[in-house]
Amino acid sequence: MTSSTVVNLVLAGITLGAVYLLMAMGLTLVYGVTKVFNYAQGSFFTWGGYIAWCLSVGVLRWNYYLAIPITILVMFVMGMVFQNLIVLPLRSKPGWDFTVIIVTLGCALVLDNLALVAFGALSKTLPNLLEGNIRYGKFAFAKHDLVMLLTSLVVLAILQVFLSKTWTGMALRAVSQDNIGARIVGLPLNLLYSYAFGIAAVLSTIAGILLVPRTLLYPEVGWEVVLKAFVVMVLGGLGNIKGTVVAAFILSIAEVFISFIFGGIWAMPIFLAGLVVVLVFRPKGLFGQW
Amino acid sequence: MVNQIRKYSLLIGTLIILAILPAFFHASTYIMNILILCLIWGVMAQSWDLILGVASVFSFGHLSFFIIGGYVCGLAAKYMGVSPWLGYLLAGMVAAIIGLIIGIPCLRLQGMYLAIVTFSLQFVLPTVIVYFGPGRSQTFSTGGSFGLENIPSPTLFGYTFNRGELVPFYYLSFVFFIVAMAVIYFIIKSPVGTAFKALRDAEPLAKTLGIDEYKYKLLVFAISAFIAGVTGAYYATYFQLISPSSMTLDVFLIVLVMVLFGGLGVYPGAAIGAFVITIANELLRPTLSWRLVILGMFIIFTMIFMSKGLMGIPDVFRSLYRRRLRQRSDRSENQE
Amino acid sequence: MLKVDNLDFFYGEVQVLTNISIVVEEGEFVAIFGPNGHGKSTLLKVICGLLKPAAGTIQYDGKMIQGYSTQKIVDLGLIYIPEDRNLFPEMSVAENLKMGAFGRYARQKEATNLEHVYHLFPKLKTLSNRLASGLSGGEARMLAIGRGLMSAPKFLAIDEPSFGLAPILRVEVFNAIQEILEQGVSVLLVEQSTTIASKYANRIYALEDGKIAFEGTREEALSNQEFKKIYLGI
Repeated sequence: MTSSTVVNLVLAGITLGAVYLLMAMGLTLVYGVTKVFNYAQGSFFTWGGYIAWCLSVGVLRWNYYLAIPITILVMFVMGMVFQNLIVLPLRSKPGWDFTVIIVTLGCALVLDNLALVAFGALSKTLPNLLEGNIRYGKFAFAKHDLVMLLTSLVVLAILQVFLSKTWTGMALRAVSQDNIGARIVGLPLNLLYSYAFGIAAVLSTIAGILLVPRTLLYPEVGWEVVLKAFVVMVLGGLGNIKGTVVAAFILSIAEVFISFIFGGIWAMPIFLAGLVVVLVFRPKGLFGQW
Repeated sequence: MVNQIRKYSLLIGTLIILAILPAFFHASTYIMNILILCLIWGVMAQSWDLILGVASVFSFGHLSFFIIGGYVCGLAAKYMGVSPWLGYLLAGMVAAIIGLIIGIPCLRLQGMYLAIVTFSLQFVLPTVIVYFGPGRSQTFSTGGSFGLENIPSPTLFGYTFNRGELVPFYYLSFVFFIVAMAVIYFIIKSPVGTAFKALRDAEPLAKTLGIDEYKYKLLVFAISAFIAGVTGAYYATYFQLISPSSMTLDVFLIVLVMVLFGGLGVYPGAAIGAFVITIANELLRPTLSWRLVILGMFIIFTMIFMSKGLMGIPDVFRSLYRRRLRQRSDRSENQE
Repeated sequence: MLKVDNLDFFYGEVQVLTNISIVVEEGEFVAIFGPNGHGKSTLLKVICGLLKPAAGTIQYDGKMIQGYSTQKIVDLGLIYIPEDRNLFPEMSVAENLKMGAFGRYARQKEATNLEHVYHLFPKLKTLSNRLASGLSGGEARMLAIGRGLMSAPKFLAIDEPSFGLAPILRVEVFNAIQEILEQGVSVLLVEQSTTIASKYANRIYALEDGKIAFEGTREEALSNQEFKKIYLGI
């Protein structure tokens, strides 16, 4: 393995890691605020991609750069509606933390199959955000990859600022830290739950728009990404931002190297095995708190 | 006492009906095939309910053991000339061993983690199976995404079961179904099942009495994996084919619906659910891709409104009746 | 200001509160005594919307608030400070206080209230960047009260403010409550430590087995031998 290969792989890994981090933050936000693990998160990834496709390349043929913000808005609303329509009614029932897993799973499959009905099984694709490569000496980077990395980092930075400086962001953090405390200071819990789902949907959509040019778009594409994001989330320790960041990059760089040496399909099995090993010794993840 | 008699007569009545079904449907291979599938999925659903509903373990890996069992039996038959009967046993044991290997570390995890890890197997297994497909190894091949073909069907006293004569195959499946359901029943009634009931109803007390939740869970996990493995093997010898498409997300969803529809943890709800859903699934086939959307919405509907499944319907009626009684007595109280 | 009538509350099948009727006039300081586990905390939680009563009415500021969400109740100025404090552990003291001012009216008065809180509890100002999880028991309790004050209360329902505190801190807490009272806020307080509370309260209730066992003014309580024996250990 030459040094230039290593550098390329590491860079690819970092880029991938940034996107995984987006998904993982979405998952963490939802889980932290609402205590629900949203199995349908992958379907948001998929549908974000399909809606973007519909608006631009596929059906309406609008300008792609216009389609993107519209898609994001639509998905934000979809996330909020999902919470209100499906998750919220379950909270008042007994045993809701089990029921909600099954229901979100059911929703995921409904959404996936709706996509199948609507768009067919053949893979579609979204355009690169920027075409072409940048050359630097021996190295060549696709411009899209660069955009992927930068966009993810910018989005993550915005998310951080949102969470620490705005009222809504702080409210979301408060709910995730003490639900009862949040109630007694008068936080609007149901609205905040909806925001959490909406934001997570947006993060998944952005991740989708970034990754689909690489992974292609088919009804079940969301699962691999969400499962990997899950591994990141658990490995980093639920609710631990720094841990999640580290975990995202460790896993993505590992994935890239594993794919290069053994083949892409071995990434997920090795992640799973690794996750189980870690959880046995550190049930809260590498840096976990909850 | 009356309850016992009622339960026994229901049981015997059902068995008799199941036994004489071929008399009516023997002419239609389509229907006979569906009935056999009902029996096979009945065992799968009930054994999944054993780990999910009775032992309350968030295992989503049940189908994985099914597939493993199918491939073990198929590979053993094809490459080692093992007879299907032995293949069933082998499949069950391999599945159980893998169940232990997975269970030992994983059963210590929180429910949510266990759910995801076992769920991920759904994705990992097919890719590994396809990987070991044609061309990968000199000695054997899993058949890749086309699956393993020409798996022999079982032979009994010189007669080989075959899909041309579904009536005998039906009775073989029926026997298999009864044996499996009986085994599951006895586990539920045994100290193991009682231990889980205790853990559910009064966990702190149960633990002070020394009930080791982890050990029991491991035991039931391995047993349900065994049953799933044997069922998968049987399935493989019935269709003479096993492929990764038998464990797609859709199949996972459908079997999950069976378990939930019948009611979690209530015997034999899952088997009943299997019958209903298998038939419903067939009836929905004309709707093509909408079939799965409908089934998915059905899961959601069931969980929101009928969280006790089919077996909970008597409860629903009972509480309605009680409410009506209360209203009546309230009203008469107010009138006095 | 607050009028609770015939309140019943069940926890599953068990009746925890039976036929509770309590009145707190505007500007009053009312204390509820009683042994642990007899429903004092539950009563406050029901009043503040965290739990739903099975029967009975709660009238606050002229409105029937039983069944209201906690968010609505907080907006009306009825603030609950729980025994468990329920602080936000990964947020700093300053952030916790800020969250207290989330409500519409509270947000308008955020700056003044913050100054007021720091004046009542100067220690909190020095700790303003410390994470809530790193506070001692007394500091946490001060923060809980401070955060409650940030919500611009017209009525404070406090559960065991002095529990587990050193005597000096207890006096500090009660002095703070006195200052709050002087600004026209009504206070309903649940306490185990009866000696201090009985010095300051206008009226006293005793809750036993989920039922009102005694009600009266402070003078009536202090002249009642039975009451003094049971609750003051005299």
